[in-house]
Amino acid sequence: MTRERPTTDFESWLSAREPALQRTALLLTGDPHSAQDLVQTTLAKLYLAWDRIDDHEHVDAYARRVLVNEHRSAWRRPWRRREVVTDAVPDRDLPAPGYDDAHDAVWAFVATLPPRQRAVIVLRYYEDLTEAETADVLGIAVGTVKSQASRAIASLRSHVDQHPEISDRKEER
Amino acid sequence: MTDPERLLTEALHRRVEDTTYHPTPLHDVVATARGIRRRRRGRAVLAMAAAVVVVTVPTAVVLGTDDAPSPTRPTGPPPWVTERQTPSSGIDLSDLERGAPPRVDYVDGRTYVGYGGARTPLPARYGISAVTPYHGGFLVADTRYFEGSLGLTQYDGSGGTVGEWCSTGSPVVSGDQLQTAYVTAVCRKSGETGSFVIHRGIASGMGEGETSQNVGRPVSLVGILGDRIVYTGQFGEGAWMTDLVSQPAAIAGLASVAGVNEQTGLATGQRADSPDTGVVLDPETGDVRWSEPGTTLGGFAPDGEHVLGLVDQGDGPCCPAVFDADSGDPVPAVADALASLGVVQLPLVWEDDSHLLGVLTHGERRAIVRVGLDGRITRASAVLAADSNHDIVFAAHP
Repeated sequence: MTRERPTTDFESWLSAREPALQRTALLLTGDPHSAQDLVQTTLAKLYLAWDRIDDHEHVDAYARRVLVNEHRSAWRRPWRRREVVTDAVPDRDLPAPGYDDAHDAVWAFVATLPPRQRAVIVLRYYEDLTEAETADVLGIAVGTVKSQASRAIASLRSHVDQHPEISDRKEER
Repeated sequence: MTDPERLLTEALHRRVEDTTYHPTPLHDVVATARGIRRRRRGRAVLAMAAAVVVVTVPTAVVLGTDDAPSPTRPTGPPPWVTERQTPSSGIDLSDLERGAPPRVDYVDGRTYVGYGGARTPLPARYGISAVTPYHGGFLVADTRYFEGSLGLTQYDGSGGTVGEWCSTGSPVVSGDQLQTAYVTAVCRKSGETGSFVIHRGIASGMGEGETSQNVGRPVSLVGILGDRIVYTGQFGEGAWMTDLVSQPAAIAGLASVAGVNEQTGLATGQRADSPDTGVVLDPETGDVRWSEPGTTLGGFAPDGEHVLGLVDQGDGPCCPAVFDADSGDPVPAVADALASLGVVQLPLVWEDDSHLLGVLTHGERRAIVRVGLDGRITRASAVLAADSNHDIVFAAHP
């Protein structure tokens, strides 16, 4: 069935909200190119669903759900799994102002997290979602969110202790 | 918030807050959307995960029937909403030999057409994607598709609404046609939390004995094997079985499950270690009967002797193929017959052990066609005007 899409509303939303999606995508994927691909697919799916969304007040959260699920689907794909896994942190573009060694070390830690755990961390500590909201977006149990976040924080704490640039930064606070 | 948590929050925000981005042009979004829509249509052709229509034996089909209730045919392997395909050749649908009417029930727009031709208007407000006679009325899944969910309404025998929910996938019916299973789900809209509950009830009963289980994730039901319901996760969370009492058990070796057959106890799906490879296996033991790379498998024929699938000819799964369920040997007559009409893609459902049905559209006209495993193609309906808002949805067998 072919239907015309209400592109005007969508275009307005796109221009206003795409940067936020791009930021979350970058945190999920770790590299700008993958993030851009992820966002484009997310936007396309949102575009297809646009005239079926009853409550446009919730479009942001809906878009976030699509983004996260698309990311989860993407890293499950065979070609994705054939990629070589490495401990090395991938090249990144220029760091944001105010981004110091401690942040860099924490980001390096985030980059080592498995995809689902990383998504939990991004949704909880960047998007500031509750555990229940995070569980809903990811389609997992609240208990899983708690355990994944808890393990990540415990690992980060250990990571902090082993990296003086973070420990020093922590003590400055 | 602990120091590590605070540091983590700060690092994440600072990592991205001043980064510059290239806005995605709208035309790129639209182009990507078109590609997704094409792939979804391809998947609809498969009907692998999205079973859409099941029809079982109702105790009373009284929703304003034009005729006496038909001896409705049982449900089948994963059925699906038919897609219109335009033959590349210049065939005239009228030239196809006229055969018997479909021997399975189907929905034509919002009318339920029973075996023998009895027509029952369905009191649906939206397009119908699935219907299951249930508890003297119907479970009707509609086309309010929203990121994996759709609407589901239960009507009683007089057309009154018993309940209305969001749902995922489509209802399924057991091989003995006595049980129906379906999913009620939280509507997949933003900010909502909720559950995905599988219900199993006596299809022809009056509501007693319904059992349910919250499986906590969006799922598509595939079939019923004995006391267990077989389903697949909508976001690639594998293949599962549950008796609705114990915790669901994963089916080893499958990335997704697409069909089951109670006579043989076998399941079809995609290999966990190679999702592009179709596989037939015993879901109890994980014992693989056969697998075929570049193939997406679907439902079994009612007798369990053949499997419908799609083969990849270089641009994704596209083209119908039938395989011997036991050996995996292809039955080339079906593809050859379609090719003789210039048809590459045509969504098909099992009509019986040796015939498939599809809706063939040519230009502004369409007809239900029957394809035999012997390669014979006949027309099972009159040639009708094609109507993009008026889908024909087949019933199939357990």
